[in-house]
Formats: sequence, structure tokens, C-alpha cells
Amino acid sequence: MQNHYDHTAHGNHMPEFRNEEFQQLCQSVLPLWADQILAAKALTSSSIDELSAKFAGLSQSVRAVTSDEGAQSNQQLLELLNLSQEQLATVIVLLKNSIDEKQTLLQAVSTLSSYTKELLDMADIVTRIAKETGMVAVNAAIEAARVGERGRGFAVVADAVKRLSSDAGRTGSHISDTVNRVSLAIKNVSEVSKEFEKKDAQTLVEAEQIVNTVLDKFGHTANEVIQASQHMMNESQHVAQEIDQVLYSLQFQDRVSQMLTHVQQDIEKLNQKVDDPSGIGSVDEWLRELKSTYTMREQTQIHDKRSSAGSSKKTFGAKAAPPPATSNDADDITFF
Amino acid sequence: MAKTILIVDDSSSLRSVVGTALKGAGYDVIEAEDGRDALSKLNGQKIHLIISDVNMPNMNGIEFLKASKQIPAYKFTPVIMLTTESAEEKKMQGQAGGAKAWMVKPFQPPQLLNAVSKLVLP
Repeated sequence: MQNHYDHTAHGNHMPEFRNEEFQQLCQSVLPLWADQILAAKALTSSSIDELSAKFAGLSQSVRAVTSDEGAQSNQQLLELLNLSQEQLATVIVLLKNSIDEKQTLLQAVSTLSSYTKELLDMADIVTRIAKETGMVAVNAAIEAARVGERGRGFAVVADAVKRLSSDAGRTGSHISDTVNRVSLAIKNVSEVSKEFEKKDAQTLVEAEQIVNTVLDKFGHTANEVIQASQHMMNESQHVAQEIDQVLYSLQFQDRVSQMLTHVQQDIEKLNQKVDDPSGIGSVDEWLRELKSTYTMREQTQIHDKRSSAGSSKKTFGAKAAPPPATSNDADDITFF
Repeated sequence: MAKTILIVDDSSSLRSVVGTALKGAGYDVIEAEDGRDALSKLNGQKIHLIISDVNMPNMNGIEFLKASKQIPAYKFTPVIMLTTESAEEKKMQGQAGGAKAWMVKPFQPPQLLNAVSKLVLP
């Protein structure tokens, strides 16, 4: 197309159109151009509509996944970790207190063994007194027998004293046996308590180690979860920025559609004028009218650039290329 | 409860793009494809803000803006005009019609959301 018009402009191989033929050409070609533009606009519009709808769904899904709930979960996880540390530390303290109280009780029991010697000495004294009382009773009975009939009452007393001394002697022996058994029991309890003390100390150390190990693992895992969550939050911010950029880019269809509509309408207008060129007016009037239909800066910029190029340079291509789609319009917002 | 925003634009892709940005920020969205359709949506329901295009078939954005201000329930509903039009003359028409802001397409979503948060009714 460009070469054709270039050749036309320079008069090389130019087909000799008569006015009537040129009119027919315009009547045939201009509606075709308008239809092609209309079709292109419709095709772009339907595709972008579909794309926009799909992206809208995708965007909502992404935003739902990357909501603030992640940060809240992290906070809850940290709070749970701190609470677990506090509560498990309390459990260890309670265990330690319980062991200490048991030790106090066992020590109290052990102190009982210090009284056993005293008790044994007292039992020996009772036994000794019983023996001596028995000897006194025997002597008294002998003396009573020697006195004869007059000593009978004294003999009865001596016999009673002898029985009492025998009873006291047996009681002394019984006390000694009992004290020995109690002493042996206390000794056994003391030995067992020492074993318990060792085991309790070991249990306490192991419990602390287990608690610390569990808390360390829990803390390590929590840190990994938090780091992963933080990473996801950072990525979500990146995704949100990308979403904004896509939302910006998707607006091109609306702008393209408007540009194509204006071109299409101008082609249709030209087509109507082909039948009656006398009413076409001046070129400047046509261009002014065309310019008045524009809504975007890009359209005006393209128009002005083309107009300033002069009517002798009717070439197509880079000189008329539109400004980038991401031009300065995005900065425009006016509050009233 | 989420606030409701009415989007008026003859381009369904633009409605979708604006709707995606607004829904992502937690707003509820109602769509209308031109001014006439938008007027039919002003049926008494609470609308906290309106975002309207200017060049639309059937009823353009300026006509819709003026018509909406005639409805008592929506007289004070803020309106943002979102359009490719950047001519001062057009902006003055919007201001005269009662619009609160004029934003030129293409828009950056954070910029639109910033304007919305400033103007949306409590």
C-alpha cells in the first residue's frame, strides 16, 4: 500500500483514473474499509471482554488467597508459641515444687531414726530395773519365809512384785524389738527415698530437656511458617502490582475502539460525499470537523503531526505512528 | 457492610477492569452500559458513589450526571467522570453538572481507588 501511494505521489506507473472511475472506486472501497474497521473493532472488543472477565475472576481468586488473614495467622502462631512456653515453664516449676515437697517429707521421716537410740536406751533401763526389782522380790520372799507365819502377808507382796518385774522385763524386751523394727523400717525408707531423689532429679532434667526440645522444634517450625507466609505476602504485593498493571493495559481496547470508531465514521462520511463532491467543502473544514470528534490526546497529536507534515507528504508509516499507549494521560485527575 | 459503587460505561471491558479494581478493594459494584441504563439502576437502593464515562450511546455521561442530580435520593451522591476526554471545555461541563472529579483514561487502579476513598459517602 505504501509503495503504491508513493508511486502515485511521484507519478510512476500511476493508473489514469477518470473522475467517474475514481468515484466508483471510492464507493466500493470506502464501505469496505469501514466494514473492516467495524469488524476489527468488534473482534477486539469481544476478545478483550472475554479476557477482562477471565482476568477479573483470576484477580479475585488471587486477592482471596493473599488476603490479610496470613498476617493474622502469623500473629496467632506467635501468640500460641509464647503461651506454650509460659505454660510449659509453669509445668516444670510445679514439678520441681512437688519433688521438693516430697524431699522435705522424706527428710522428716529420716529424722525419726535419731530417736531410735534414745528409745533403745530407755528400753534397756526398763529391762535392767525389772531385773533388779525381781532380785529384790526374791530376797523379800526369802526373808518372809524365814519369819514364818508372821511374814506371810509380806510374802504375798513379794510375789506380786516379782510378777510385776517379770512383766516389766518382757515389756522392756518388746519395746527393744519394736524400736529395732521401726529403726529398720526407717532405714529402708531412707534408702528408698535416696533412690527416689536421684530418679526425681533425673526426671526433672529429662522433663526440662523434652520441653525445651519440643519448644525449639515448635519455634523452628513456626519461624519457617512465618517466613514462608511473609514470602507469600511479599509475593502477593508483587502480584497486586502486576494486577494493577494488567488492569491498566486492558484499557487499550476502549481507546482503540474509540479511535477506530472515529475513523470509521469519517470514512462513512466521505463515502456519502463521493456522490456529491460539490458539498464536500474545503480540506481544512473537513480536517477541523474530523479533529473536533477526537476525545484523546493521542488522536489530536497524530492529527497535528500529520497536518504539520504538509499536504505534499501523503506517506503512511512511522511518521504517523501514535504515541505509546502508556502516555501521560494517566496522571490526569481533577477534583472539583 | 461493603459500600456500593455504580459503574457506567458502554465498554464492558472497561466496566470489568474498573469493577475488578473496586472489588479488590472491598466495594460492591453495580454496572450500567449507558446513561439510560444507569438511571434505571437509581431505583432507591443505596449507592455510595458513581463512576461514569462521558461518551456513551443513548444517554451520554454529562446528560446522565445532570439527570441523576434531579433525583432527590441521589442528589448528593458523588460522581467521578472517567473518560478519555481531557479537554478543559468538557471538564467544565462535568463540573457544572455536579461531578466531584474528572479522571482521564487510562487510569492507574491505585489512583482511582485513592479518588474513590476520598469521595465515597460514609
